[in-house]
Amino acid sequence: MFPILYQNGPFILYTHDLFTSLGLLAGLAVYYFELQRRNMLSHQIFWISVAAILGGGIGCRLITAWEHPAYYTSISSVPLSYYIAHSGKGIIGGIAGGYLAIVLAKRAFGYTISTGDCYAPAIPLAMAIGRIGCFFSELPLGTPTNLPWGMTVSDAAIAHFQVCPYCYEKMHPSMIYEIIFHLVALLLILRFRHLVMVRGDTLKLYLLASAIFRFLVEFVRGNTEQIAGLTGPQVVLIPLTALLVYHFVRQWRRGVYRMPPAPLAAGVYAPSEADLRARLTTDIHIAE
Amino acid sequence: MNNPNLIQYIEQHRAQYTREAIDKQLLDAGYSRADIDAAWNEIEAGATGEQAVPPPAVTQSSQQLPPTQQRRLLATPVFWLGLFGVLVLQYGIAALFFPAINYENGSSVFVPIVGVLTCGVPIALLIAGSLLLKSNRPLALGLLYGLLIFDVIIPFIGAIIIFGICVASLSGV
Repeated sequence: MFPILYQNGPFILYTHDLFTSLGLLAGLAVYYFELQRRNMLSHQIFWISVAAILGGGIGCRLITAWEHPAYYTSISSVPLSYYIAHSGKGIIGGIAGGYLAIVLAKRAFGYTISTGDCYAPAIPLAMAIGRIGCFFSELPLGTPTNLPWGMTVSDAAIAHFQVCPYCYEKMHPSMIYEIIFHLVALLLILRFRHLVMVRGDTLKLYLLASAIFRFLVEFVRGNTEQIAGLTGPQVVLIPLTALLVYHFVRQWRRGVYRMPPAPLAAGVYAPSEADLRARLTTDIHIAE
Repeated sequence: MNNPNLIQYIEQHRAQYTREAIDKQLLDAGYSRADIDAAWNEIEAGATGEQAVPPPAVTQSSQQLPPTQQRRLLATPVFWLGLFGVLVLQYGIAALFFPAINYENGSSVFVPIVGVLTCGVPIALLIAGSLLLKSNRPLALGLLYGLLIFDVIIPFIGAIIIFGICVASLSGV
């Protein structure tokens, strides 16, 4: 457990911040590569991307604000920037805020092309790298467990944290679960994204799978329960997941997944019923 | 000249469907791979000559670069070096010294250092960007765009509007 990666007097390099930054940079690099590959680089995409980063930064802060309002209402003698730098953050809010910012920015520019497919491989890579930082800097790792892969931490690591429930027992390595999920998701995206017919659906499928997985992992994550036995992320994930499901259901009902066939090329004819019957008879004779 | 039906089908569906899905439908309809690729090239070349693909509602100002030059600029590593260089200088160095600032008694030797970095670096970068516009345009634009994003847009929207209003309302100010 290394919450502080390097310290030299007042100079402190936090593990979580370093891996978050690395994840963000890796994700941006993949995103840029995808834009270039699809010939989509333009000044509008640039500003839409800036809006995404801004929306993500604001969203990741706001998503946790409702969990501890007393923290924000106690602002009195320290600068606002101190609270911003030391308040909680949530990746779910980051993704939701970035998504909303992209939608609004595209409407402002009148940009109608779907850009989700460019984010689809970038986000799971960034998440996997960022979660490494979480694994090395946060306790508890998860709820207690007797499973063979349950992990314990040293007393020296526990000493870094004022409050650490479950830390003297074997814990679920919940961050490891998430890292594995995002890496598998990345591989599946790279391998099978050509099968997704609608623009932007690759990202939405990943977000839906990620939301469901995160909801389930929260049961072993060890976060504080907020409402009805659900943690803060679980409460937030319910409406977000519902929105994604609604999107796919609406697309299906509108017939979007029944792509209209292309007009036949010159010299190509559609086989008649008689032709099909004759071909079927020939095939049966050959099989016999 | 490509089959007009082929081009029309691609233009009708490319905003909603992926290229792979469109290509599969066209291949199933009997078109050759060469004809399909030629049709895509013709559509993209025709759209690239005026605006991005598909043509969004953009008003061209005299100061705006043509789309091909915009893509070249964004594809230049030096531009991104300038942009993220501003990010590193503005936020990275300040963040490194931030934990050392003692807010309890309000005194710390690092407060003036952060102050110099916060105020002096943007001015220096603005001057550098302006001077480099003619000799190294991608780097200059990277610096200037970086200043616009990280010194104007982010602090104004994130800190003043969102957090300022929310915090003020919660604390009853």
